[in-house]
Amino acid sequence: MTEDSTPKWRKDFPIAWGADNYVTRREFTKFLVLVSGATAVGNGYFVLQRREQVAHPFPSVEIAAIDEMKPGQVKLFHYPTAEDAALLVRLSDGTYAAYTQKCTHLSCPVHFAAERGRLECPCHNGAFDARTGAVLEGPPPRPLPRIKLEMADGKIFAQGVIGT
Amino acid sequence: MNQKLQWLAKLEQRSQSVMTILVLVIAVLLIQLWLLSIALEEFMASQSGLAIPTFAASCACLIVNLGLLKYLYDVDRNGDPS
Repeated sequence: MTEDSTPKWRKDFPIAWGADNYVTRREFTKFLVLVSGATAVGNGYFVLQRREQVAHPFPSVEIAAIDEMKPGQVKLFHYPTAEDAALLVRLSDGTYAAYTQKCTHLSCPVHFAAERGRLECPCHNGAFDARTGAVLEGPPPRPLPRIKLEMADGKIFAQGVIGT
Repeated sequence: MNQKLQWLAKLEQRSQSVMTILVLVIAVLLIQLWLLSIALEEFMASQSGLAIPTFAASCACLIVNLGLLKYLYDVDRNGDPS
């Protein structure tokens, strides 16, 4: 085919449909393999976080005296870092429970409703059982992370965060 | 003209190969996204028991995708991968 015999429309659109489809699909496939690599790296991030957690276990922090609070009372503290607000509650039967204060829905601070024996989130009316941290109602997808408590020498110590 | 028809037929064949690879890569990527969502859900719940298994499975998926990418380069290079 000589230059002169090429129609004008072919000069304007020199790439065939088939070739165009081939190139765009090939490039898209390469891009998806790149995304696949990024996804594997994302999974690796959680492994690193796990290793970090194992390497630096939670500290033991004194948060209150055993006889400091009456049943139905609540005390605010920070654990495991100064940025992590947490609640220590004394339940009606005299036992203690502690939870992080961030709602598992959208991280609003929860508060202790002693009369109902539950922790409530005012943002979207989520509620958690104060005894177990389990979701009672509302949109939170997970229980409140519970803080492990240890009693010694008349004092209460926070010793870790349990997911469920 | 006959040569051009042959070229178009070959292009069509390669295009179908690429389409098959593309579908497979998407399927494997969806599995990887599912694995990532599991790991994220575990992380948000302050648990990490599935972090290593999901990472290993995700790496296996990546290897499959890299194999498919190699196949794609072979198609590009030869038009008829071995």
